Amino acid sequence: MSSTAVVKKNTYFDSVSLMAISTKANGLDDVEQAFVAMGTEMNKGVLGNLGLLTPELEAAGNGDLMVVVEAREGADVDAVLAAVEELLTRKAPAAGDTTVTHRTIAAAAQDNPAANLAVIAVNGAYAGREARKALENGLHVLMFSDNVSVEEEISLKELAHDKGLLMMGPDCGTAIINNVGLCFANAVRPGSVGIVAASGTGSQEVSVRIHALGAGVSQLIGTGGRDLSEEVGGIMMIDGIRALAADPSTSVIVLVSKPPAPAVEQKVLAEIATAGKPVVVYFVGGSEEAVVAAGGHFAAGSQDAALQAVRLGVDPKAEVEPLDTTRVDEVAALLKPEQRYVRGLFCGGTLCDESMYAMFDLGDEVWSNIQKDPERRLTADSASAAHTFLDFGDDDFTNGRPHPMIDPSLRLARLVEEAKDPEVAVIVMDFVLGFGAHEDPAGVTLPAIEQAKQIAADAGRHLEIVGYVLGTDLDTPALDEQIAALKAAGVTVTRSSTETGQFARAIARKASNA
Amino acid sequence: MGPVRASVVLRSQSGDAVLLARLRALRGRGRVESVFRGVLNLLLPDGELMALAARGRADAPRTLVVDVPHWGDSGVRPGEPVDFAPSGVTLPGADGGIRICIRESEEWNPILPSLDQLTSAELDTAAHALRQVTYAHGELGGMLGASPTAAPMETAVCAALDHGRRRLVRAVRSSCGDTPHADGRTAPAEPLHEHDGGPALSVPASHDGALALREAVLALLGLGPGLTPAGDDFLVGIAVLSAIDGSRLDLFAQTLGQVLTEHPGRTTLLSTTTLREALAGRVRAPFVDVLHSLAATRGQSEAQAVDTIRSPVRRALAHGHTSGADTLSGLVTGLHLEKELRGSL
Repeated sequence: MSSTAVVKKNTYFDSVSLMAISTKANGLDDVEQAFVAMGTEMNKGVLGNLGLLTPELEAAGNGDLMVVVEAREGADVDAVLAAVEELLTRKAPAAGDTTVTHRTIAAAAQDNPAANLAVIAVNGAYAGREARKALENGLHVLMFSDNVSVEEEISLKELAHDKGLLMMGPDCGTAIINNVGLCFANAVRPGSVGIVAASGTGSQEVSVRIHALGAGVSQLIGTGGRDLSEEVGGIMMIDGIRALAADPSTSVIVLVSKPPAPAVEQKVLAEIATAGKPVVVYFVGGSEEAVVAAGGHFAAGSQDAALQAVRLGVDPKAEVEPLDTTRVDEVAALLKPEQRYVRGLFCGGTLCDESMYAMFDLGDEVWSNIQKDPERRLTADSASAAHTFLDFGDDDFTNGRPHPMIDPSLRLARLVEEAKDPEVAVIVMDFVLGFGAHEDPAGVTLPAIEQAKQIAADAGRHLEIVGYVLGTDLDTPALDEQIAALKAAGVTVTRSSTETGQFARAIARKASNA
Repeated sequence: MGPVRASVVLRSQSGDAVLLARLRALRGRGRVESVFRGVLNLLLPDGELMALAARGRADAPRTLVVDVPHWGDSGVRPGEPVDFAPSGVTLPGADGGIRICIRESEEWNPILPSLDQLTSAELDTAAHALRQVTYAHGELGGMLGASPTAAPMETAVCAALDHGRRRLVRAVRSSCGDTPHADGRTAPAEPLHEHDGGPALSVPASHDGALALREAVLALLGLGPGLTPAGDDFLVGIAVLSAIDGSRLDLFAQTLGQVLTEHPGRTTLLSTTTLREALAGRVRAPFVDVLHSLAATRGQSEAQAVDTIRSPVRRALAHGHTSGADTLSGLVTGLHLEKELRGSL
């Protein structure tokens, strides 16, 4: 083995990034071990005792960051160092010689006359101004940034509407425009189902279910989470419906959102009557009556939304396999009488919502950080109670941290903690693949899964961990490899977000009746 | 170099009252020391450190909380000049400069509780409860020990940290036992909690307790992973306890203060500043809340105390990666020491 080091002079990373770098460096193939610390005298002393103090490390100052790497026997040390250096400098994949950096949106638009869309992902304090510049330069906008005032959002959406442009966002995390995935999106085949969505992972899930049914997506237009509020009035969703109604490549439209404000729901549903194409409406927890009265097709879940859309616009004979109850019975037989509760630990807000709504069928004892009922709403600091569903992508958990699709550390810690609770029967998790997500969401979770199962086993309990991998066979990393890794770790893998909620509910029902 | 011009004005929502008083009378140029997503660290014209925290971050010593979601895209770079004037702080950014207006900033004063009303038994209960919650929810890798999958380097550092803690506990005992307080108290002979000192390690020479204490502090200062090394965070926990009225940890405080003065390069500037503030009873708001919750455990059983402190402890644990757990670990050890030193009365 050979040890080597990188010293970054007066270089700082926040503590979360530092941990991520340390974890990733330890996970590199040719790395025996890696350690990241400041270059203080005491830290150098410990390295000296281990025989790892190189002259380079010896020269590090207390404001310098030391990255100590011990490479495996026979490893190419230069290659290992290059890999570590890449982690530190967060190099983007090489883009060739054609990459040009523009200082302003106007200059970028001028240099690229064919460009018709700008993605804005700057601090919310500046995002509105940049979006306005883009719209004024004739570009559609996808605004990933959040923390933009509602007044600014309305003003930008009205400007876009007047110019015949799309203003997706603020806080829009998912779109597929002309088969190009933007921000968090999955690789789905092109097709004739158009989606307008105020929900990021909800629209990802509908798009991958459509793909799994053999169909494809024409456009996936994001609106931002606040579009269907009373104040904004659904400006973007209505413009999105109209755009897809006018799009000859789109045969059927799917709307995905949390339930809109009542007045806005009325406006949106009025729009579907004139779309001239079938419209499937999946408003999580929404009512069927209003949708049907407006001439729409009500979807009770994300899987149902995809299935109806495919049947209406592509293949009338499309089918989905029902839940296999054999596994439910097997799991229920393994549980102790006190194991009655489900704990959901989710990266995706709509995936969390869908499983949580499934559990409402069993009663009121459902707690969450995204619960509508304030008496059953939890914060990031709260301990779990009865059936608990946590959306780790919610602001309460992401304050000052990257999204859990990128940094899973909080969710992993919670998984281990929930395993200690003797009343827990099932832990449900989602694993989101695709552009923008973690490079190996299942792999990074496996040690915590193993630890959680061991904790339960040591206490003489069976702990059922249920995982749903949101992705397609075209995604990276490979969907089947992620599923295989989870199954090998003893995880029961479900086939859709809808099935995940059904499965957890079925076990909880059996456990409570036992 | 001309003045830094600003095109974006941000408001400081709240700030350390001591820092605000200083800034309102300050004029001069400093520079950006380091840039994180949630915090900008600035050097004042005299070279001391202050911080600009993004919205939602806790109040803390030498910190202004600014109405900005994060600094990720601000364009601010380390080394750039910062202008200080009574009206606010101006620094260069991606869009022509950022002015932080401090006029309407709410003043934050960390007020520590008294622990005098807790009996020795209640201090012990509070310490056990704090330890229980910290270990249940805290991150491994620093003072709480190595994680199960730790590589040898992490294991070695955690062992050194554990050794340092034991050494410090013994040194405090030894120094207090040998060096009578002004009121003639001496340290007791009974052992501390099993995790805070043990019989296996070599004990510093009891005839030279003060020197042993100094060496024990030096053994922890700057040791461990993270931006604020874990050993420093641990010392912060004991330091803030030593600043509470009536604390018996005065010799520790005096020694730590001397060591920081005599060894300015022993650890990072951020750690040194944090330690000095802790000695003055000034720590981040979540740790002040933990101290208040500990004071509120009076008369409670350990199970009740766990419920009382759980929420504030979990908020404190969210600080940094292992920093929260390391500081709370220092508080646990400090509480045990405080109880032990009281026993000499």
